[in-house]
Amino acid sequence: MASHEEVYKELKGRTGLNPDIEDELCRRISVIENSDGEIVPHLTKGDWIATWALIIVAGIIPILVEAFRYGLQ
Amino acid sequence: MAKFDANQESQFGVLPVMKEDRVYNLFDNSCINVGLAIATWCFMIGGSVALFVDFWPAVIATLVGNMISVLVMAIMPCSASATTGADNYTLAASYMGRNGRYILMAFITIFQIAWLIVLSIMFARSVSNVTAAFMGVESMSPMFTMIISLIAVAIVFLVVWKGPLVIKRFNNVVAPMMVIVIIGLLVILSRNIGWDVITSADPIAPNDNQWVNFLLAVELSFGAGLSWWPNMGGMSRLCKTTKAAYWANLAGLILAATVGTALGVAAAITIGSDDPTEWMLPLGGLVFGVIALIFVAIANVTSNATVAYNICLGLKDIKIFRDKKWAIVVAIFLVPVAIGLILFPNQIYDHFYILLGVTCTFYVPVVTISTIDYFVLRKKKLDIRGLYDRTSTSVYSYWGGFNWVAILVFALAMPFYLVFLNPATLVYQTPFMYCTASGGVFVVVAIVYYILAKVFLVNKGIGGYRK
Repeated sequence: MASHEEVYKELKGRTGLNPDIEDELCRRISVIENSDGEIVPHLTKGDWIATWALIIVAGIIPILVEAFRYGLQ
Repeated sequence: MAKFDANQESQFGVLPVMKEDRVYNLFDNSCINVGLAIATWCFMIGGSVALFVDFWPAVIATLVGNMISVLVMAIMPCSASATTGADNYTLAASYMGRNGRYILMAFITIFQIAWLIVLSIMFARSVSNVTAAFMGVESMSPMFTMIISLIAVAIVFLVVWKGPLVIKRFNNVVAPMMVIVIIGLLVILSRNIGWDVITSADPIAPNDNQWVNFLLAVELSFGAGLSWWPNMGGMSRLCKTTKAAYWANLAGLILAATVGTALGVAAAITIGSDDPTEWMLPLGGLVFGVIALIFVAIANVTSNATVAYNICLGLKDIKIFRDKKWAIVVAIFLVPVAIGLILFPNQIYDHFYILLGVTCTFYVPVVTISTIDYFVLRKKKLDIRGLYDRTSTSVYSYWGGFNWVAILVFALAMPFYLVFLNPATLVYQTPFMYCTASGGVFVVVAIVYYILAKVFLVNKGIGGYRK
């Protein structure tokens, strides 16, 4: 578990920010690290399936259909 | 106790945006996305597409190009920015190096200045045409148009200065109305010209090879889709969920952009002009024409505001801007836009398609490298401390702050594009016929970067990759 103090100790003076903002940054980083690097969850498997489905159905297949129609002249 | 407003510092600065500070849901981000997508650039892209294909193949090519390019382009910045709260340029440290990311920013700043000039000119033309209609004259003077374009810059400043909440409220009202206006313009065009005429009109200057013409249309859409990359991170980090960050692109950059481009195609192949400010009034009549022109003008402002907000977030992280107030950073960024509008507006505007082509050669390797690095090499795990560590102790220091592997691949990828297509002249080479230029460059860059990164970075423990 990353504590605010631990993050601050590592980053103090290394961010180029003024001390107040740097302190707040370190607090936020400790919160993010304690959430396994995610403030909000990643896209789900369903999102990935939908993405690939759209790319294939509304992207690649129409290109193949047009290629067939025009022929690779 | 902090002597600053932390929420403000995250919205207008480098602090990661935490869950409680997030202000955009899916509807909000979709409206912003629609407001970004629908601007005069989609009409102009339509005009370029109309050179090669007629209406229905243009619609298919545009939808296909947007679907593939936007979904691929957006997945990394939207995912990473939403989950970490960091913007694109902070995240770029992970694959370009803590100093190498400034190379990206330098290019992108120049491109975004050029885009703002183009859209400001279109704003000015819209307002000029409305004014001329009310005054009963044929057109307003170039000086008038220039002044209006500078007013557009001033409006963008005011919107961006006030930040993401104003951008959201602006787009929540404007974006739905823009979609209605665009559809209305298509209806007016088809009523005046005839739907049969639109769907049967020939393209303007096609090649002999129909398949190549179709691929060129797809390539133009790839270029358009990929060039949204700099605008992804700044908005995504403000979204309440990663889904809201990512899927908003479907509404805006894919579907709305396709409808807008279709309008540009229809106008270009029938009237001979993709510039809606030239035909909205004659075809739409005074009332609807003026309303449509006003919304087109506003659409350019919404796009410019989103573009400017995102790049200024990146600039805020540069040492000389870090302690400057947000308003000053925005103003400094807009100064070269204003200078461009005064000194050489038409040189940029008239070469819009070259701008699109050149930016495509840039964004293909950027998207490829960032996506492969984040999803394949890092398995979506970033060292958050390293992103904000500006010293040599950062895991993203690579060699002197530069990931020379990524920079080398990036530098070689841009001219490699010419193996497939010349983006300025649109003269193609044989390989283009099998994979398009963006497709070919993407595949080659992905393989080359993966191999080189594995050999020189991952296996040598450079760059913070987990083995």
